[in-house]
Amino acid sequence: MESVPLSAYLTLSAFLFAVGAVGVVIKRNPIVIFMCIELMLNAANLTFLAFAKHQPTLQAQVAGHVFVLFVIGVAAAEVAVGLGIITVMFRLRENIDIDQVNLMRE
Amino acid sequence: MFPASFGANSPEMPAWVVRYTLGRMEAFVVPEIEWSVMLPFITVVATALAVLIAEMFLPRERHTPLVLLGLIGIGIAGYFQLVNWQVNLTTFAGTVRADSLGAILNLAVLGATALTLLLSDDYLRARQIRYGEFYPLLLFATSGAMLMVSSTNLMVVFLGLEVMSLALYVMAGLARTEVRSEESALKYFLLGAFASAFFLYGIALMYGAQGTVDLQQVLANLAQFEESGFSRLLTVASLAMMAVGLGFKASLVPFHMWTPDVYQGAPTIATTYMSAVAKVAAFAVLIRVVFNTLPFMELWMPVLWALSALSMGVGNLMALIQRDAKRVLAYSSVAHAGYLAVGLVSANQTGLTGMLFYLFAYSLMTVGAFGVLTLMARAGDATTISALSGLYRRQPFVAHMMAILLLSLAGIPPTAGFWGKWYLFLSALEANHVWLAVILGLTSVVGAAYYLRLAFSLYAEPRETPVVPWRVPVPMVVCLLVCALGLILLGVRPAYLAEPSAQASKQVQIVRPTNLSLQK
Amino acid sequence: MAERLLFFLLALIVVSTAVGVVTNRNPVRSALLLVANFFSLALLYFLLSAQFLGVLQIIVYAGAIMVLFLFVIMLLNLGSPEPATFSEQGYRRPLAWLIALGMFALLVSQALVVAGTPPAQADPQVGTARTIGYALFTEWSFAVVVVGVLLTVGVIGSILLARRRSA
Repeated sequence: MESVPLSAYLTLSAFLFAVGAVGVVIKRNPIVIFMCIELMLNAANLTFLAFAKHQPTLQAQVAGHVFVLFVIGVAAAEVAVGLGIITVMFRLRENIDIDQVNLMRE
Repeated sequence: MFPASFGANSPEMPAWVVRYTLGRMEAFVVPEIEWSVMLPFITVVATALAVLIAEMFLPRERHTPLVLLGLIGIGIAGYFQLVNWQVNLTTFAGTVRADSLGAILNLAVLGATALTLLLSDDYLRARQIRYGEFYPLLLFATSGAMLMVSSTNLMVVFLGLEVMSLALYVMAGLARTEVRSEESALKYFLLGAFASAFFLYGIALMYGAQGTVDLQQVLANLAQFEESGFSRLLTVASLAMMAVGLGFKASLVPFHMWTPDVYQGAPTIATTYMSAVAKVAAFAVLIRVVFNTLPFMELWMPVLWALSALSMGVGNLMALIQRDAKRVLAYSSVAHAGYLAVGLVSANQTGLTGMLFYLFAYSLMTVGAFGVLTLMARAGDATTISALSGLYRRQPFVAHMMAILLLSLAGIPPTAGFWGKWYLFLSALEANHVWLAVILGLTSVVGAAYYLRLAFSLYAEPRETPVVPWRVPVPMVVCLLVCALGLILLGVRPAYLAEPSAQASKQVQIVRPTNLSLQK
Repeated sequence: MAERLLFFLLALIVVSTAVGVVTNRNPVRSALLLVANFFSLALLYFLLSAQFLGVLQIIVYAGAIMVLFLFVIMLLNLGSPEPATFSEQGYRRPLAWLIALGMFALLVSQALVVAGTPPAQADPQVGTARTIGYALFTEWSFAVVVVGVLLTVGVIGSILLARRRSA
């Protein structure tokens, strides 16, 4: 069985990362922007795992898997705080369009 | 295709490697732990937990014991850090590094934390946002910053960055009933998480290129082996992505957009803290990354040069046209990121010394300056320059201290700010970056203009009469005295800090590109 | 061959759902597409012989995290479509294209660099919970502690933000 080349995985994750980055820039709803950031984190995870398969030793291979585990933990903590901030924001203002989040501009 | 340099194939195993033989899991090693170098971090985390628990049992309005507990913890951690000053080792399976560079920057972080703690109770009371959770969050953020300072393992650095950033996001949104505080938290959070994703992708590419995320290992790989083009290009991409992520955190132009809005909208006490600690931690990581990948300096250099020059220019020019003191200081923080980056561009011993000196001095200056602004909480938290004018009439002591801090920020002798700029200037000349040195000099002159304008406005006639003098809380007096006298002391006797900094920079191995052949 | 076919199928789903997340006006649909995206990523993890993480991806990401997202969207009544799909601030659109092209070009060039790497065979025990557990509690034990601190901060932060109590 012929396996999938490393470059295919890397291209896929590059695409995922770019889509996420574009989404962060163009979307207006903070929750959707946050989802795009999650896409970017997952792109990084895919890269870690794709590279992990190509490491020479078991130790180096598992390191990639461990990193992905950590990133999932980081994402969980980020979601807790991020959604908390968005919830509080929504209590204060009915509309949270990110374009209007610049009260402080002079 | 991969450089045959990592994993079990590497010729020298580090000292911590102990073979662990159990079943087929012999690839794994039990880390040897040097507990003494772990103590500062452990103390801070333990203090944070102790404060968290103490907060539950104390009546709601009593925060003095929490502050005291925090200060004691920081003091002990600082003591442990001082004891470890001469150490030079890596422990915990290569995830924690203890060296003099880390010691200096950790002391700066701990000092900024202690000074912020001094100011916080009074500010939180004046603003009516007395949440006891603020103190543990502050201490946890400190522990995250300490990890960023004292690790060369990029994954641990990333985790430390997240610990610090998450705590800072919450601190920025501490005033839950105010739209501007929440807006600044939201902005900080979204852009910060965006930047973290870039940093993480950079780590992933580094893992692919070098088979390790330990920067010391990376340097060893680069120094020992003829590289294939493969891992070289991946490493460059990784460095580019990490530069974006760290540029955001250190607020270098063009990644600085969030800085003024967040600094202005966040409660001043949070701004005080983040302006010092986040900057020190981000630059610590930048230093580690740049100095451990020096063979790539020829590629790094133009990028860093541009970031540094742009930050100095944009930061100082934008600060000129601001009307709010917090925004002035925010743009000044951008400009200072630019000054500091000069040391990265020149990448020599003098530059490193200058960066360490300036980071330490800068955290004193910025904590002091924002600390004075926390005093405005009792006047509706207005921080426009016109609201500050006539501060001398209300509070002569505070005005004098603020004037010293502003002089130091402007880099006027005899203050520490002058020497920091001087060392960086010298390092740029030493590395033949004459134009960068010129830009540093010119933008400092521009910078002096707005600092002095701010200083003069303190002594101007107040708009409202009669002036009601303010009582200044004792902790603030202590904090301002420490900052201002410290800066003057370092200005008169720069060697007190410059010598340790120079020693620390000698520990760092500077591998110039000429020492090894990247071209096959 | 079968593996390549499977990869191609999954990659197609990943790409189309990711684009859907960004182009869709309705946040609820975006969230559901993101669940589909994470799910197919989990299957890709299996292809990369990361079984344990594939399962974890489904449980934690597609399960817990996305449920939290949907819950907040519903709670705040954000389910209504956005007035216009994209940000109206003029500079953002060209900026987005610039970022997208730059990023994609940079990263694909990296992928091309590694093209021709001989396909590697992962150690058969690499993706198991046992191996990852060994790694976590030996080499990476300190990082595990730090993740613990991180989660504590997350808990304190969200309590502080979400609790209805005046100071």
